[in-house]
Amino acid sequence: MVQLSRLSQVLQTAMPLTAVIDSALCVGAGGSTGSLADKPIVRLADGRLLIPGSQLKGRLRHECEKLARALGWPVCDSPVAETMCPQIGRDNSEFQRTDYQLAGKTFADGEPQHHCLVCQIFGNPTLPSRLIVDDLLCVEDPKNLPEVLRPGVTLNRRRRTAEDQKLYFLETSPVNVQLPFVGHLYFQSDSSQSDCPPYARALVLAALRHIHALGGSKSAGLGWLTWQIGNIEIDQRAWKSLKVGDAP
Amino acid sequence: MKEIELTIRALSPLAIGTRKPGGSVSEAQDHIPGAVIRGAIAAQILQYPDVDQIQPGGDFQQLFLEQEAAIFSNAYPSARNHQGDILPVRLLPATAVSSKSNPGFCSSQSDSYGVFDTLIDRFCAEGHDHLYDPNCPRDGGRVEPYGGFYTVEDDDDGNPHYRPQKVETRLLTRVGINRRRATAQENILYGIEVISETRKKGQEETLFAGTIRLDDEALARALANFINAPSQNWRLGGSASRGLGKVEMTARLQDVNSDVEDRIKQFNYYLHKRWKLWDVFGEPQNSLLDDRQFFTLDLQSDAILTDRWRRTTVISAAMLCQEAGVADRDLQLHASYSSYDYRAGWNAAWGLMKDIELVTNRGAVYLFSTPRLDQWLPALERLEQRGVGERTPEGFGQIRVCDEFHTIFREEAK
Repeated sequence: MVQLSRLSQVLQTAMPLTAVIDSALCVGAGGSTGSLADKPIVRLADGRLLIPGSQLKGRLRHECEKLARALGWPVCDSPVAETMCPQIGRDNSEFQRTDYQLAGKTFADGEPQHHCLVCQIFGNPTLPSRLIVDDLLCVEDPKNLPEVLRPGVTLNRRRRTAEDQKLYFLETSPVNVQLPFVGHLYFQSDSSQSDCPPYARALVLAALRHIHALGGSKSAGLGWLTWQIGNIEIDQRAWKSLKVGDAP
Repeated sequence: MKEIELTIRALSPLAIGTRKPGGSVSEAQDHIPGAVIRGAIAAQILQYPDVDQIQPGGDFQQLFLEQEAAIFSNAYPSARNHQGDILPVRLLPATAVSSKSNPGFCSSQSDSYGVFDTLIDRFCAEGHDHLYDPNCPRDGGRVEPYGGFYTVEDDDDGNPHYRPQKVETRLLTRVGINRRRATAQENILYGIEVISETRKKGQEETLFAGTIRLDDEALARALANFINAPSQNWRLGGSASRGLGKVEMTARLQDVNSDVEDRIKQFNYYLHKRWKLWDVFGEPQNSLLDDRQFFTLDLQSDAILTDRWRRTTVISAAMLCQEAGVADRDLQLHASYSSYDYRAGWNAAWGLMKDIELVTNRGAVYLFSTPRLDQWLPALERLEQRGVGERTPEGFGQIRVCDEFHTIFREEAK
């Protein structure tokens, strides 16, 4: 029985997160107009710069998958729905482990569903995400940020001169001004079995340490950043529970 | 009956999408459906770890599952007045028209020729056996139906100032990354049309106003406190775990004060006055006004109407008697202005699509008359509070009796 007045516990734990851009950020916006650049930067409706939550969540998932695989956990193949958990019609015995079984999640024939370590945090087409990622917003007023267009040109390898039709312009955030992009990661309460698993915060925190750059042209020096992560306590048992992936 | 006035402020883009049957494009809606708000509140309650869903009874059942469940109305775009209070948002009826060349409400900032209503004039013209062909009061040009949301605010001189209210939308492009090649994954490039979090290049916030109506005062107070709790982190619509749908929701508890009787009186006063004006073309042989009182039903949200198990877009006299629980053989439907559309949806609790419903579009107008209005007044008040048709707890079928805009005539277009 549900009594609204008795529901007083805090639902989610929030991890404050700030990305300080050390170089210049270039998160492209497909289909954007209103800029002379070939690849405009993504902005909010009021012109503020941001790192979309979808990009951050995708990168976090990618890094978590790498870490989990390295620890010996079987992980499904995202982002294609057909190859993600639960492994329908497949005989993947490595996924049929007890710590992948979710309470209350069964197929139509009553068989239990198994969701891998990463899907239990980030979700899949049949399981809602237990981690909610904010857009990281630039706190600086856009009026104080000049529009920066960075020209680029491709060189013809044989002639060593500019290639025809390969002059392009990237829009970036201002260079080397340590712009802070602020947001939160929200973890669903882990006090019940159906909510965020206890190792989620440990794995995500480790994944964050693996992300050194975001956006486009990372290999050309754009988007390099430093994380400032708010105080968050992680139980030692959570770190230890990640080790039981049977890594050789 | 108690009413919780909801104010929703968008903090990030809102992916409140609707997909037409057979279509592949997800378009952003121009409002937040009551079903979305209802689902978000229900999901938030169920996420608490100490919730026992198996044991029947309790507030959850009373709010969402019982016959007299709470009514979650749609939340429509609105704005704040000079004092910072949110303005009540209204919907133009289907009978409202505006100039074809310069449509819109009159204002000092625009050269729009104004909006006026045609229901009463059309009824009087047809009652006098004349054709009714309205034209623009400013330039005599053509007019066409004009719909949407609006707010009314008194200016410094105390004159009502009509302002259209609408959301701004934009398209976000998203792509899935193939983990092995680290490039875009085939078939996972997609666009989401979203409601922007601010309007007019950040000068105005995107605000929505809606209501939750329920009979139990204690439960209403508990729900308002639950919504206002500082620990709540509200997300509405799709892609909520990826930065979209973040909103601030505030609730204010108030009594439902019905002024249905006053509105009906005002409507009949203007109807009689207008009928006499049309008498200059000659009095009709049979006056429609003899011993009859008129009222309109204006749909404030899409409605799912059924007549003998078949979908319909017209509320007939028999249907209204059945819906209101009033036996009145003399009730007569004089005019109906309605159109239809299809609505689908997603039920997160089931994990399944909802049925595709044929709906009567919001703004539809039905004009009724009866010689026994007294017995209709309490029934109309109740209908206004609970709605007509099916799935009313999700915001379908909300009505307003005798909308004030019907008394805005051509010569005083707003």
